[in-house]
Amino acid sequence: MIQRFANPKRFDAIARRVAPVMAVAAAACLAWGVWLALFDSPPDFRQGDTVRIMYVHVPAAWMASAVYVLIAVASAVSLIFRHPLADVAARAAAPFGLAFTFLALVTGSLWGKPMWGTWWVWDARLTSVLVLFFLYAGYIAVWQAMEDTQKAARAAAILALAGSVNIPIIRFSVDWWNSLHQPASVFRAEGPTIDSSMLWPLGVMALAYTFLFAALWLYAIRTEIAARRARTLAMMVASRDEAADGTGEARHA
Amino acid sequence: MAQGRRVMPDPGNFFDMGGYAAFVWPAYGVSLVVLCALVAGTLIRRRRVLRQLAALERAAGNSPENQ
Amino acid sequence: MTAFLALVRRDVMLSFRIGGGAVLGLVFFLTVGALMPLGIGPEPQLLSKIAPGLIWVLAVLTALLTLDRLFQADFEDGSLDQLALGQLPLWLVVLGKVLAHWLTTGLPLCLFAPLMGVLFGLAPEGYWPLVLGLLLGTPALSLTGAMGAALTVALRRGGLLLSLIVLPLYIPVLIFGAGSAIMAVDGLGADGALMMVSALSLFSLVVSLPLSALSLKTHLS
Repeated sequence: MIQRFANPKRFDAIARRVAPVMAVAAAACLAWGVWLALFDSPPDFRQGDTVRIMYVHVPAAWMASAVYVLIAVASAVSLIFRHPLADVAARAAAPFGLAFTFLALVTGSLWGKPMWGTWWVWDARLTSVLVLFFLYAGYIAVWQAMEDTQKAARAAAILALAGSVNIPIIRFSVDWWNSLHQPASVFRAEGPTIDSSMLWPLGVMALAYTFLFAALWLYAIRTEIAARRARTLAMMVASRDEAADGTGEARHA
Repeated sequence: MAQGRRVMPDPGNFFDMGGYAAFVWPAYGVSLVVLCALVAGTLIRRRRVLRQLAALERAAGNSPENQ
Repeated sequence: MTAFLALVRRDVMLSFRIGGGAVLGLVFFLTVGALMPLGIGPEPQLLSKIAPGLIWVLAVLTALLTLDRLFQADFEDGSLDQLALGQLPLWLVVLGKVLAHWLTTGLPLCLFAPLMGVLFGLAPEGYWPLVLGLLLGTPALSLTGAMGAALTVALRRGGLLLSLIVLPLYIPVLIFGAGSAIMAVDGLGADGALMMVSALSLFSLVVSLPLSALSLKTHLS
């Protein structure tokens, strides 16, 4: 499996065909999901219309952790198998993870103000998601700080693995600590605790976010592969020009 | 949990969001802006990199061993 | 074992020389601590309430400040290559340097934390958990920080990036470390929090050593 898709050329060929499909699916799901979320779903009996914030908040929060898991897995693959495509994939995913985490924090804050009476509380769930935001920022900063792509890749991968401790903390923080944040209501052993009239818009929006990320990620990976090729070419051209300059000087002398 | 389906709300109520307009609309707004920025950023970067790559390939194309 | 102890000894000695981090770190800790009441205002009740948190934040900052040179000096003059080629495995080299760092910054902080407690008017029940928490938690700060220092060893201005990388990973230690003293003051008992701090230190021991060694290897090759 890894071997099959690990060839950058073949990956490029597959991604070229899959990405537009994902983009179309994302657009369709987004249109349907927003329709369901804003028009075709009831207000909650306790939270009123603020429950509609859930349909943009929860998918963003899911994607925030899911993208980090992807980065951590890709980092492990990159460290163990030394495959360049894995660290390209990890690097390309990071900005999206940062953006989703930002969205989760901001929409959560907008939901918290009317429901809890405060924009922010320092409870375990909110704090661990804030930590996730910082982890993304550090991860991106490591990539940008190091000139040598290979060294940057390994440093970033090590950081991503170390930071992955945070993911189970985010997942279980609402169960382990009493907090204002409501406990998990969709993915639980006994089945979801929310009504199907709300589960539908939530599921469709989650799909929309997933497809959107998948499409953008594939584009970004292809871009990153092209950028690496450009860097290699630039170095080749530079060294060739240098060699040409050298002979030129020799001739003058 | 549900309060009965509300398929076509009247517009006044809809924009009012049961009095929570100041929270619901910004949440959707910021999501829209960030997602659009992601799409635009990805496409812009792709176009820039491809243009760079094309220029470099033209420059490198002078020497045959690169083909 | 002798090689390991020699390495620890060497690093401890170096950090007491001019330009070494040991004394500077402690001075930083005490100076910034003295600044806090001047900025916040001298109300004794407020100060005594925030004392555990302040002291812990200061401990974190002091650790950060002294960490960026943990491997860098040896990396720049080539002694790190020598150490990597020597008889000690690289993770033991990391452990030795971490131990030296803790002996010269973590331990002095623990010893001077009660003094800071007095300056802030910490409640009497808070002292013991504060010192114990610092003793158990500062190893985690040194260990986790070593990983950040190893990742940024080749960067000329690595200190800023080091903080960005390491600070998020410090948060659990900070929460439970300061929490132990706060809970003791509130009469809730500090045992649970102290156990969490010890667990975090052990966990960072297991995770940080191999990852630090791995990232050092990347920069050495």
